Amino acid sequence: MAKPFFSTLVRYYNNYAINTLGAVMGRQGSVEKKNEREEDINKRLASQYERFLKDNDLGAFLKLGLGPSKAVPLLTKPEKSLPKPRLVDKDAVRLVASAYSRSNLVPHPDIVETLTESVATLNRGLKIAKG
Amino acid sequence: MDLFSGMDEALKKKVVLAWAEMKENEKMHFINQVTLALIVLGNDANGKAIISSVLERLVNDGSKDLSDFGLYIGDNFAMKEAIVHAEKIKRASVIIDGYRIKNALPSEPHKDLQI
Repeated sequence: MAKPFFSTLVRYYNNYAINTLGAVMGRQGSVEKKNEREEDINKRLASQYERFLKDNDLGAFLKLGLGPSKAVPLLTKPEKSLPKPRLVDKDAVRLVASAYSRSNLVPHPDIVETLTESVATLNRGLKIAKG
Repeated sequence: MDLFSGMDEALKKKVVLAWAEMKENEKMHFINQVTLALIVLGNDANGKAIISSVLERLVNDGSKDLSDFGLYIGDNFAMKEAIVHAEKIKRASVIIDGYRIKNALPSEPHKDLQI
């Protein structure tokens, strides 16, 4: 009676040991695979970064996640509030541009701005006068 | 800052009324002449004050077209800025005269004849 009991016990422990060992090895295998994947990713990122530094490769730069996709959220939260864009009188811009184009004048941008604002003021005054 | 920010409201109204009657072609000539004046006089407060003064003389003289600008810039000015920048004004007048001749603009202002 003792012999079957003992052999059953041994078989039980054997199975337990095999299962445990298998589970541990399996887990270790998955950890190793994960480590390998991470190493691969790190290697790829490193090579892309090197390419970016060496050739100024924009594709590699974007793949690294350093490009506009990461820069945009920073722009949405500026430290100081940005000035509101001024309303532009398209008619004034067109008129000033066509005047310069006709006379081949290329004035300083500050002068272009002064004239555009002045024409916009006149147009605005005209609209107010017309009601 | 535009050219009219320091201008009297009544005067500004006269300028706007003249602007309302002008054709697109005349508006372009006005823009070009004022640009030439700003290039010579400078795009600062003094330059803008002189241009504002020229416009004042233009509308007060009865001209109905702002493209007559070049006909009034050569006149003698009493204002302080104009006396200081007399040489520049003379130069601007010569350059704008050249522009007016090149574009066959009239040598007399657009205003009603007084009989």
